[in-house]
Order: sequence, then structure tokens, then C-alpha cells
Amino acid sequence: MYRFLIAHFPNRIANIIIALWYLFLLILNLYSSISVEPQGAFRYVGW
Amino acid sequence: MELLLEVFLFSIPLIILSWALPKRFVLLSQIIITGAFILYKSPISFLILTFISFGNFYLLHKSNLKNSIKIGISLVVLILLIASAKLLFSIHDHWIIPLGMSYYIFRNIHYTIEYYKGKILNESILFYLAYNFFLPVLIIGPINRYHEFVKDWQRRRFNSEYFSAGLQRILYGVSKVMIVGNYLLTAKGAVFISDIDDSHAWLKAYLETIESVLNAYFQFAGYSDIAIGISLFLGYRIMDNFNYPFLASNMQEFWSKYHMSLSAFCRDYIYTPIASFYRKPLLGIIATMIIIGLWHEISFSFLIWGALQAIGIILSSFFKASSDSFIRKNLGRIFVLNYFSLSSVVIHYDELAQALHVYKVLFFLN
Amino acid sequence: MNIIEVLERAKSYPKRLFAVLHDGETVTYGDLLSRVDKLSLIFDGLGLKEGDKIVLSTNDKLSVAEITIAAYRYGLTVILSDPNAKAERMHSIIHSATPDAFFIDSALKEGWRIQDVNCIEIKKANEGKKTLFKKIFSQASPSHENRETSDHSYPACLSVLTNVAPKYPKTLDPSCVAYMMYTSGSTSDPKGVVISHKNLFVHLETLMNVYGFEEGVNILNLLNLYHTDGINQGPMLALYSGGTWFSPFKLDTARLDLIYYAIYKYKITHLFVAPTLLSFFEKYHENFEDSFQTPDFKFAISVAAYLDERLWHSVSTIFKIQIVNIYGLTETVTGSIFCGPGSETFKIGTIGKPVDCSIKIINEEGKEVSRGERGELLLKGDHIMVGYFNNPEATDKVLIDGWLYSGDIALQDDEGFVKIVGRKKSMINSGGFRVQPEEIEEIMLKVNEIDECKVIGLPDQILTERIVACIVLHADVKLTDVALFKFLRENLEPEKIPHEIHYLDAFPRGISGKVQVEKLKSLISEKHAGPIAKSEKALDTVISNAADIFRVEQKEISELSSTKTLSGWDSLSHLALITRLEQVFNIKFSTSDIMVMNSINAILKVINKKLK
Repeated sequence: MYRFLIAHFPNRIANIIIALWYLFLLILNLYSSISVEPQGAFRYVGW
Repeated sequence: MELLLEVFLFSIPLIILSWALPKRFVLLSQIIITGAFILYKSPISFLILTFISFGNFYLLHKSNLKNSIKIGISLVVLILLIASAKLLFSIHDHWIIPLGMSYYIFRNIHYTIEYYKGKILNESILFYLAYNFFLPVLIIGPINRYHEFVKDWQRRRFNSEYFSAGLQRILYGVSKVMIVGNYLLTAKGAVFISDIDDSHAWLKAYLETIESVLNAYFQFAGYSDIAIGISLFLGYRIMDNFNYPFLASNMQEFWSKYHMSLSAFCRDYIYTPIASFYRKPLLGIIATMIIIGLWHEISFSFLIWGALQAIGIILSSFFKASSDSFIRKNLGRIFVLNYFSLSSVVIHYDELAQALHVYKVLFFLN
Repeated sequence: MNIIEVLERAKSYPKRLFAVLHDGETVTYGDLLSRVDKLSLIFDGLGLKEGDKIVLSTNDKLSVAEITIAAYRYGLTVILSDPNAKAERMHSIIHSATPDAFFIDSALKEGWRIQDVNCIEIKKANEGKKTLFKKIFSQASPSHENRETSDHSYPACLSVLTNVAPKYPKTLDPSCVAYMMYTSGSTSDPKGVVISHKNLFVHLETLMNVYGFEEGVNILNLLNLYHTDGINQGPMLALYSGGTWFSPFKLDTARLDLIYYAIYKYKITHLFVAPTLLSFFEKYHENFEDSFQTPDFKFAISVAAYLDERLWHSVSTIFKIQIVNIYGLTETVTGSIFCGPGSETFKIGTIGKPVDCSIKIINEEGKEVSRGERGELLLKGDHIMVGYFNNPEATDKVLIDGWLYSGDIALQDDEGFVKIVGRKKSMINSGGFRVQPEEIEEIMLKVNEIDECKVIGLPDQILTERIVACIVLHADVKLTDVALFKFLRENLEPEKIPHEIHYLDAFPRGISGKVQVEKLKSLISEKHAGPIAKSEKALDTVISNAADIFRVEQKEISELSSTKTLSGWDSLSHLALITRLEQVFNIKFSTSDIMVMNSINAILKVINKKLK
């Protein structure tokens, strides 16, 4: 994705977009972890 | 979740020490920290892994036995270990089972067979221990290869690109687990599906089937991403485990993109020997897929699941030669998602009867 | 740029790395500049003047680089002499070149019996700790004896010099001789190629432009520093382009993994190799195919010998890299005609197109031939050597009206690509070393039992050419190979020792009584054709069946094709091939056989074992 952005936008804008995207994911992750009960450990884990 | 946090917690000193220490102590620090982690999480697994690591190394490299006997002992012990563990403990009672055993047993089988083929170039107990005691891939794979591991160690240097790639990989991995798997599919998706009126039983069963397969994929792929990301922080590039499997247009392609480290292992060490011994590729495929199934759990459900995967692959070989048009490709993709999801129903339920019931709904057999 | 400008520019980046050498030793441009300054005082102390000549010969790579560069700056001529050279050859060189000072390893002083007073011994063993000790010690009691030895040993002699202004000329005449390299020739007639500052620096500029070097190039060049491709495309090119020269271990074909690891580890951008090394790359690449897929790596450059088209294709495909070829002679500094990296000059199998020089292809009558016809290749340009030192006769033979007669037979195709098709001179190119057969013959004839001797080069998969000595003994005498090789090892550099020796009753001769070399060559090759042909037949069978099953052209498959390099060789077709081969050869493979049969070579090995 970063490569695509660099190719189509000026460097600075590409960097800002990517930073925002990461931030967005981070917030969403935090939100998910708060709002969802921790799932029973995943089947593959430990196997 | 808790396990993931603990892996992160242990990874921090691992990463810092791996760049702060003089090179000759780095592998040792990795071994010790990983060892401490397993000892803390699962003492029995620590004992088994230690026994295997030293035992296999000394058996292969230091004992005076005949080569065929060495290989025989090594393989029999490894296979007995994994089979008995799988038979003794069920997949549902987690913390009793030896942590990461399915993965490290396969790594050691790989090492033994490569030794047999004369392909082990850098034999050293330090490398071997470091390969076995490598935290990022210990619990959930990938089943990385020894020579790749040693190669990455030999050419390792500080590379800021690895850090940014690793950070991105971890973020994406956590997102797959948390956002897609836990939140969207499990919390939202499952609620949405259970809200569907019971009069639409078929739709409900179908969506549940798809949801559980996608959830499994995103969770597993997410954990693999995290493992690969942490490895990148340490300066190692670990092989990918998934390569957009649901974009595959037939089941053979799907299995070359889904849990790749396991399927590649099985291709090299199960398919090739069996198919060449009996000169029957079909037999090779069936045996391979059944073993992949049983690798998860030794049970009748997984046996059937494996056989269904084999049938899928064999079917795909009939369609392989024909044209590669846009429509065919996408029809193929729809088929792959449905075939894999439907075949996986059999392993989603503890009782075979439950699965059978779902199949009845799905195929209008009620 | 000349040496003064290059060093001046280097002052702006003293922290940048100039070289990375054995055991992680690193040298910055700042270190280099300070060494150059201090060395000027040493040169001055030895009473050397601009235009004087020094012999430089050491196994320490860094000393070679820094003394050479310092000598250029001071205006001295460096006689680059391989420390492997034997005393007798060295004496003939010394006699011809009349050097004014020596910078050589201690062992060589003894081995070559150098009695000259102007001799600095290069001693670098366990430097680190000792110098620290020495420093403390010398401050406490500067013993006279200690100073005496350190005055004549390098780099110890530098440590006493601090904050003294360097003593070198403000300007340098471009026609001043930079170095001399004794390439070939017999003891009685040594040929020292004379390269001026103008030749050298004009050519470095060409190299930098052709390769498209920018700041931050990391050159991996492990080649011998006493050959032009080692020194000029290693430390000199790094210095000229402001890049870093990497030579962190000894070139060892048993440890190719070190090279593979180094590409990523040191962020190598350009790798210099000889074709012999490439053929080892081709043989040993399993699990290393991705070694060059790093964000930094640009291309490999094949130097020093003819690069076979098949090998060229094969290595490029295995590693997915571009291999640029450079054609030149010691007499042209290093290059003249370049194949790549630009697509307009890149055509595998040719040597590409000339850069910064003119070429001409002439026939026996001295007339220029038309396109597509063969003739001797002539080169002209600012980088062509001044001549052979004190040897006008030899110079006049190859340097006429500014044209250098290369001795190579070439043709130029319609698009202007030059292709080498043969050689006029008897020179043998073995493993990247140019060897003059006459030189070997001269030594061999010193053996009493040998009546006549002819040394020829025969094509070889790995070495390009292998050196073959043909001997006619005196009547009724016996000579053992062991005794002969012992004598040769004592009197010849390792790369000049024949790979094979054949005893003949007589040489094939023409009417004039001259030995017919071509006839001799075919005679020897025939003698060897037997067993090779048999295994080649098996190879052909395997390849034709593989091509049939994998649905690829036969020519796409070679002995070195493997499951990893050949598309179409998947696990299903593998089995089909195995089954087919069992029928064809009427043998049975075991499972363990099949598991290791992942390349044509491995298959052949198993088949040959079974057939026995």
C-alpha cells in the first residue's frame, strides 16, 4: 500500500495518509479489545 | 489474548538484547529467554523440547550408529511423541498439552530428514538450540526451516526496513485477530447471524459455516503475522504462512497458499516419499491430506476433514488444464470458499452428530 | 579528477567508510587521508622523489590499498608484485625495473633475498593489543632499539609521526607513471605494463560512468589485488567514486556461503567476480537463490576472462540478477568494451560496445573488415598503456599508431555488438588468470629429463581453460609426476601450475618443423573424449525425457537445472520423470533416491550409481 501511495502522491502526503491509517487501525484495535470479551484461546494456539 | 500479551512481554527483552549484546552472545540470549518462557507457560513442554533438542542432536551428530538406524530412532521417537500427545490430550483442554509441540516436533522431523539427505551444512548445537528455542514461532508456527534460519542468522544486520516492516506486520496481525476476527466476525457477525429468524434455517447455517472458517483464517493468519513481525524485529525473515488463500481458484492452489509452512512440509516429507514409493500420486495426496488433518487432532472428524481436502485437490486436477478466463477464475474462488467452509463443518463440532445435523440443513435433507 | 582532487574531495566525508576488511576491520576516509599524509613523510625519509619506483608486495589487503594510494599522491610508481611470485621471477623484475625502495612482507624479504636498505617491512600481526602496549612502553622509556625496528616496519613507523605537515608535490604531471604490472613474459624478457596517472584516472571515470556509480556504492571485490581487476575495480574504484570497498574474507570456493551472506549483510551494491567463480555459483546455489534479492544490490560484474554464454544465462536465471561483462586487458587498465548495465549495450554472449574508446577489427592484411567478419581487435583511447617498461621491442609489436593490438579475434554484428571468437596469442586464460605458456615452458625445460615441452590451454567448464603441459622426454629416462609437480610448485606461482601433464613420443609438426598447436590440442582432447562421451549420453537421455515431461525446450534444461530453477518441474511431473527414467534405464529408484533427486545433476549421480 505504501508503495502505491508513494507512486501516486507526493512523499509528505503519502506519509500522512499512512500514519493516519496506522492510527485508525490502532484505535480500532483498542476499541475492539475493550468492547469484545476476550475470546476463548484460539484453536491453533498451542498446537 | 493473555498468551499474546505474554509473548509480547518476553519479546521486548529478547529484541533489545539481540541488538545490544555482542554477536556471540545473541543466540544464547534467545535460547535462554525462550526457554524461560516455555518453562513458565508449560514446564512439560520445556522438558520435552529440551530432551528432543539435545537428544536428536547427539543422536544424529555424535553417536556412532549406522545412519539408517539413527534416522529410524529419531523419526520413531518424534512421531511417537506427537502421536501420544495428540491421543492423550484433547484439543480442548489447553494448558495441559505441551505448548507448541505440534510445531517443534515437525521442525525436528524436518531437521532429521534433511540430515538424512545430507543437506545440513551448519551443524552446531548452538544453531540447533536457537532454531528450536525461537520464541516468535514457538507457539503458532510457521514451521520454519533450519537452513533458512541459519542463513538469516549468518547474514543478520541491523536493518531499519525490517523494523518498519515488522511493526506493520504486527499491527496488521493484531488487527486481523482483534478487529476482523474478534470484533467483526465473532462479536458482530455471530450476533447478526443468531438474530436471523429461525425460519431461515438454511441461511443461518450457511452463514455460520462461512463465518467460522473466515474467523479461523483471520485469527490464524493474524497470529502468524505477529510471529513474522516479531522475527523481523530480531532480524530474521520467517517464511509466510498464508498467501491470500481465498483468492485461489482451485483446491490445489488453495492448499499451496493456506498454512503454507505445514503444507510445504507435508509436500516434501510425506507426499514425495509416499507418492514415489508407491508410484501413485493419488495415494500421496490422500495420505498427505489425512496427515494434515490428523496433525490438528487425532480424531475421526479430522480424518474425514483431511479426506475431504484430498478429494477437493483430486477434483481440481481434472479442471486444471482448461482455460483461465476471468469468469472461471471467480467461479473457482467461490467454489474454493464454499468447498473449504462446507468441508470444515465436520471439525467445528465436538460431536460428529452435530456436524451431521448441520449438513442436513445445508443440503436440504431435513 | 586526478588523485589530488579525489583525495581533496574525500576530506569532506572523513567519517565515511573507505574499506571493510578481514575480521571486521574498518577504515574510514579520514583514516586513509591521515595514512596518506604520514606515508609521504616516510617516502621523504627514504629519500624518494617524484617518479621513483617502489616494489609493493604484501598479503595485507589494507596495506596494499593505502600504500598504493599514498604513492600515487606522492608521484611514485608502484610496482605491484604478487607475494606468491617466486624469487627468480622477482629478481628478473627487479633487474628490469630498478626500484628505489621496497614495501614488502617480512617473509618476502627473506624469501626473495632482498638486501636493499630502502626496505620497509610490512608487519601487521595482532596489531590491536600490541600497539597499545607499545605506546605505553615507548612513552615510559623510548628505547633506541625499538625505534630502529619500528622505523623500518609498517605501519609501526607511522605511529611516531604526529602533526607533521605532509610532504608531497602540489601538482602532478598526468603523464607520471602510476603503476607497473608485470603480466607475463619469460624471465629473460619480462613485460611490465606501464600505466600513467592519465590512463588510470581517465579509465576510473569511464568505469564510474558505465556502472552508474553514485554515492554510497558498496563494492564487494575479493579478487587478487596484484591483478588490475582486484586493485583498480576494488579500492581504487571505491576511492574514486566515494564508495566503500568490501573484502571481508578470503575468496574460497568452499565457502561461497560467505559471499551469499555478505550481499545482504554489508548492503553490497556491486559484486565483482571472475567467470570461474560464477561457475561455482552455478554449482552451489541450493537455498541461496534469493541471496541477491536485496533492496541494495544492483548487478554483478564479470571481469578478467571470457564469460561463456551458457554460464552467463544460467547464473543470471538462478539468482535473478544482471551480470555485466567487461572486456579489457592489463594494457587497457581494466576495460574498454562493456556489456551492460544499460539495455542498449547489453546482449548476453557478446562483450557489448566500446565506451570512451575506438575499436577496429582488421584482417591479416591489416585492412578493416566489414560487419560480421572476423579479425583482430584493436583498441585506441586515453586509457591505453604507455608501453612495456624498457622494452620497446615488445611495445612496438602491440602498440602501433596508438592502436593496441589485443590479440583477440573478434567480430562486430549488425547492431554493433562485439563478440570474441578466438585468440591470436598463445596466452591461456585459466580461472581468471592470464598465463603465458612460454613462461611455463621455460621453467619446465629446466628439468633435465624433459626434451621438449609445449603448454596449451584446453576448454574447461570451470576454469574457462585448463593448463595442459605436453612433454616429450629424452630417450630412456623416466620422470614421475610427483617429482615434476614438486619442482613446478617451487618455481611457479600456484595459478600457473599445469592442471594436466601428458607424455608424448613426439609432437605433431608442420613442414617447417613448427609444432602444430591446433593438432596437438585435438590430439589431447581426443585422448580424453572416451569416458566423458558416455556420461554425456546419459545426460542427453535424462534431459530429453525431462524436456518431454516438463513441456519445455531441451535447451532450457542443463545439468544444473533443479526443481527450484525449472518451471514445470513440480511434484507431479517429478514422479512422471522418475517413472519414465526407470523404464528407459531399466533400473529401480528407492524412495530415498527420489528424495535427493531434485536436480538433473543429482539424478545423473543416482543413475550412474545404479548402472554400476
